[in-house]
Amino acid sequence: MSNGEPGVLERIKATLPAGQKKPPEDSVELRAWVLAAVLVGEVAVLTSGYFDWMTGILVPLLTVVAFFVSHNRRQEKNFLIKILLAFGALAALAMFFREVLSSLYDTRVPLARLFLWVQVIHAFDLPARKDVSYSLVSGLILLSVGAVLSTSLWYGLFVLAFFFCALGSLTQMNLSEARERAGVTASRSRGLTPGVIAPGFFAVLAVGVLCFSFMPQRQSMNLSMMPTSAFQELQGDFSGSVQNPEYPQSGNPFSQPPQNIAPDSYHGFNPYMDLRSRGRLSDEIVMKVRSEEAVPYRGVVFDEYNGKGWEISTSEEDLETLVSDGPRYDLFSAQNVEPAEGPTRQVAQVFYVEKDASNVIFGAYRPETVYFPAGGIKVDPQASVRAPYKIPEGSTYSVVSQLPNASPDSLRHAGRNYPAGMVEKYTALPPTGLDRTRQLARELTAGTTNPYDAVVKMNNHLRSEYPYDLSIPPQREEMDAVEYFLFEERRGYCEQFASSLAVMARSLGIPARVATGYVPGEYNPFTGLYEVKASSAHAWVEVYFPGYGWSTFDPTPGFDSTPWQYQAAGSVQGGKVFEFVAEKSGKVIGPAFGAVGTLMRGVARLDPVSIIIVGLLVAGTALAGIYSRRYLVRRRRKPAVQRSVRVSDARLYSRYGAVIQALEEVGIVREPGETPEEFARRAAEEVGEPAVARLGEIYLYARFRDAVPAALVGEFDRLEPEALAAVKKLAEASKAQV
Amino acid sequence: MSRKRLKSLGKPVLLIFLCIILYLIAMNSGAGWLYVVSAVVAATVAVSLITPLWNARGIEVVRRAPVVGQAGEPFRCVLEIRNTGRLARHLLEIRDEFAGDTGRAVVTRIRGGATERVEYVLENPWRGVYSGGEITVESGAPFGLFHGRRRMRVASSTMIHPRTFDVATLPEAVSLDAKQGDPSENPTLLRGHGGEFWGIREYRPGDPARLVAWRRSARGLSAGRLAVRELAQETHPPFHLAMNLDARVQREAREMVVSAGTSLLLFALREGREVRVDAGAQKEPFPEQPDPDAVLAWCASLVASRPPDPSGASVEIRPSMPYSRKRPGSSGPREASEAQAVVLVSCREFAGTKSRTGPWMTLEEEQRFVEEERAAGRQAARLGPDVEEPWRIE
Repeated sequence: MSNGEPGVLERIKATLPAGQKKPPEDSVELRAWVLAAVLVGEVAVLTSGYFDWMTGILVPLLTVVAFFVSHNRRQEKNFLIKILLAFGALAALAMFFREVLSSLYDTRVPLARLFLWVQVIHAFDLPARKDVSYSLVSGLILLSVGAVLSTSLWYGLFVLAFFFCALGSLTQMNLSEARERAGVTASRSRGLTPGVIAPGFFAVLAVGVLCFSFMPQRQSMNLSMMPTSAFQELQGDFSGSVQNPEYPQSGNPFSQPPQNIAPDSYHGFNPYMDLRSRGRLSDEIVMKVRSEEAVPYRGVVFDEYNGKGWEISTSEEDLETLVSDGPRYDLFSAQNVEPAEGPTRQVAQVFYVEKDASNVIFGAYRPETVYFPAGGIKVDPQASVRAPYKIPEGSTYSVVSQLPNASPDSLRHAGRNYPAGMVEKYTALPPTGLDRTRQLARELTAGTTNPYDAVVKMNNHLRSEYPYDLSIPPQREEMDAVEYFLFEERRGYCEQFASSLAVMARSLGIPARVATGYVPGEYNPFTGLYEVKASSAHAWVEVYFPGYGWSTFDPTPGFDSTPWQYQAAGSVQGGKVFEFVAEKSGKVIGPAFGAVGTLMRGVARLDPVSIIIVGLLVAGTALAGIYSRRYLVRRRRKPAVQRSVRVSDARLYSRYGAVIQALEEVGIVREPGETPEEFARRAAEEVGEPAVARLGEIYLYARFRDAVPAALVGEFDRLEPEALAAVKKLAEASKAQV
Repeated sequence: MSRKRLKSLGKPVLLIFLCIILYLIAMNSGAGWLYVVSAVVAATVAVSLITPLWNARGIEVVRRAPVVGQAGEPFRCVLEIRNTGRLARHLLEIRDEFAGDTGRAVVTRIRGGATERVEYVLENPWRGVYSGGEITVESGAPFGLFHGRRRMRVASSTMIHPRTFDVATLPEAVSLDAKQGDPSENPTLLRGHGGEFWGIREYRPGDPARLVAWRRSARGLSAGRLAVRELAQETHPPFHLAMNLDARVQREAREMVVSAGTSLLLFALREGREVRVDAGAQKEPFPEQPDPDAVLAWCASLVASRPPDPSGASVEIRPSMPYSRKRPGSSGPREASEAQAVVLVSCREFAGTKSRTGPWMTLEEEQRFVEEERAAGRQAARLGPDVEEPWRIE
């Protein structure tokens, strides 16, 4: 203030209690490690796909600036900065509440955004070590938020990078604390990264894998907060028929020759399913599913068999539209959906769509609550749910379903008292062309007393007598597709197995239908998600039992014969982790081994290129081995001990050198092979002065001992003039003789 | 469990807490990577528990310390730390409890079989004769969550002399008592505190009890009056010092008794006086041919002992503690000195600001003691932690 009065800030500061100021953290290395860890945490969240590019650039950039500012101003009180940061924190909180109120069903993204901005704000005020350590904890929280949002195996790179930086930070913090206790100022520490941090990181990683393997994992979900992607308002009404972008939606496909199968899209996700051709689907991941149980994901139900394939008999008018302001739909409110019967169990599933798909909303039978990010959905009487649009890549939706949970004994005693209309609709078959099939069904079920045992017998017959084969050509004969499979081709794919069982059941008057969807897929213990490939598409049979509803049978060999039967997931994932890692490693290493095999075969054939490559590889390995060994030997070799030369010793050397020079001038020269001691004795005899011999002894003592005692130095001082005088005398005598 | 120990567990407890929280969230959300993060946090704690124990093993330490030092004067020590193991050791913290102080040093890395030299400064060594001290090699490597310790006794001989300060002069009663005497007295033999008999006179307050001439008092004087012997002042009277090294006194006050005593002894020696010291029962007798080095060495070895008899001492240095015997006729609660001069070292001032109360005299009692001593004709001084140099006994 110009008039010397304290300003407002100073006056406020004066009213605040003077707390004990923590010593500022001077270690730049510690701050750099923590900054790296925090940046990894931030990028892990920002790359989850929920944030715009502006946030993606601003947050890391501001964090770097904040760390720089807080290091430079670590000695200051930063009162003004603290006030600004408080306002910033309030703004972030306001933004969080606004976002949460608009998306009450999934608060993960608003929470992640809040954590990001709090991290940035906090990074501006990190004067002391404790503040820096809070920032590290905050980075761990960000990594955890990213772990919740991530569905990718690549997230492991973030986990590895974060823990490498975090362990580096802990090491630097340990060093900084030790230096503070010892009163040593912060300085650069060399060799810590290769010496401590990297080995520590690998040790933690090894123990971490063990911990993770034996860690009980429950695949349950918080049913009050099921995630969905961004909500889209519905514009007008929409068609509820199954829409698949890869297949023609108009015309009668059964009047044409067997169609070609799109490798990335299953032909069973259509209003029709042609049984006359199949083909292999690709191994591309189409969706990832978080599921409480490994049960199939049911999509489309076919109830009308026409001799060439299956159709959905329900017209668009029969579909019921459910409309909502939010993503939640409760299917108990639907009027024309078949009711749930018998004992059930609840299974929740979250679907992360990885590739553009049809408008089929998957779920375990029977969907109870659907969380879908659109203003409306449609449901058919078979409880098959459709979205208002073809579901694009990146979409997320959740389904809570009720699974039939009746025991085999209950089903065995269910009887044949089917509701009105059920038999007509679900036992209808083409009038001709299925004679052999009907005969086979009768033969297989002879002696059975109830529909359940009959279905099980037929199911087992198909599983044991017909091989699963996806490579068979399209149907070559104009006949019933089931008859062709059962009596002509006698091998085939899941749709043929399922159709055969359904048709045989229908022929016996048992209500049956075919459902399509995906099998659970490969469980990834790291992401906790089932990875569903296009090739995981599957078809199975649903059979009706009075009082218990529809139960599932799967006649395809190699698949679970009763997929909805309750199976508790193992809580200890150790075997799964190692199995998963081994499988993935095999896929990576496999090609390498393949290349080695090709080379070896080439050498065996005396193929010159293979021989040259193998020769170069062997020579390179040998050279690398030789040089590595040399390097290690050189590194391990202890340096020669260098005794420090003391000033008094050095003077003795030069003084003794002068005596030697004087001796040489009179012709007394050290002979080759003569030790210094021998030379000194001979010189003493020739000069006639014993002091010369003693000087030699003292010189040797000084030369090869650690230190020269003061008494010997004194003796040298006393004897040196005597020796030099004797040599001089000898020189004069020699001159006189001449 | 001590508070420091509890505080050192803060970081691992925080990490375990985070690990549990993350695990619970993973259980609730089914997020697989969260299980991984939680497992790695748990692994960090597990690795931190084991590695420090190994890291502190196989370490040998040699101390290179100066032979002589002075109390309170910082001196530099060198530690040679040898790694006898094959693998390198990292982040070692060395704590050396030596010469009454604690020195600390940090070694970032020692290769297998190598020796590292680290220096540290002992800021405040205490007086004494030391043959070694305990060295603690501590390591929290790599992450500092837990610490492994190894204690070892490392020998090295160092003598820390007491702190001394400049003395302006010895008390007048010690140096030239006769100046206050009768001018008609024998000029070659002045009245004072020597060994020769001078005469008999009536008791005056402050006269030492050992000089009371009991037989003469009984025979020649009326009841209730005492006669005392007067002694002649020698040309170079011996300096007799009584140092009270009461074990009940705080160490700092006792050190001040030794410092003041050593300073007086060195001054007396410089003046060519014969010196005698009574410091209670000590292991080593006072040197028969004392020189400054011998006096310093002897003073360095002084330990707490029972209070000496100050009768006849030239100077008594005592801490401000109450003693049972009282001066006859004195109203004060404290025993008076029987020396010719007395230095009272204030225990109260050495007690620091936190505990002003204790078994020692209050400020008023200290002042009254000094006044009474002066009133009895003795020179008296009060000594606290701060000594104004050159120091004199008023």
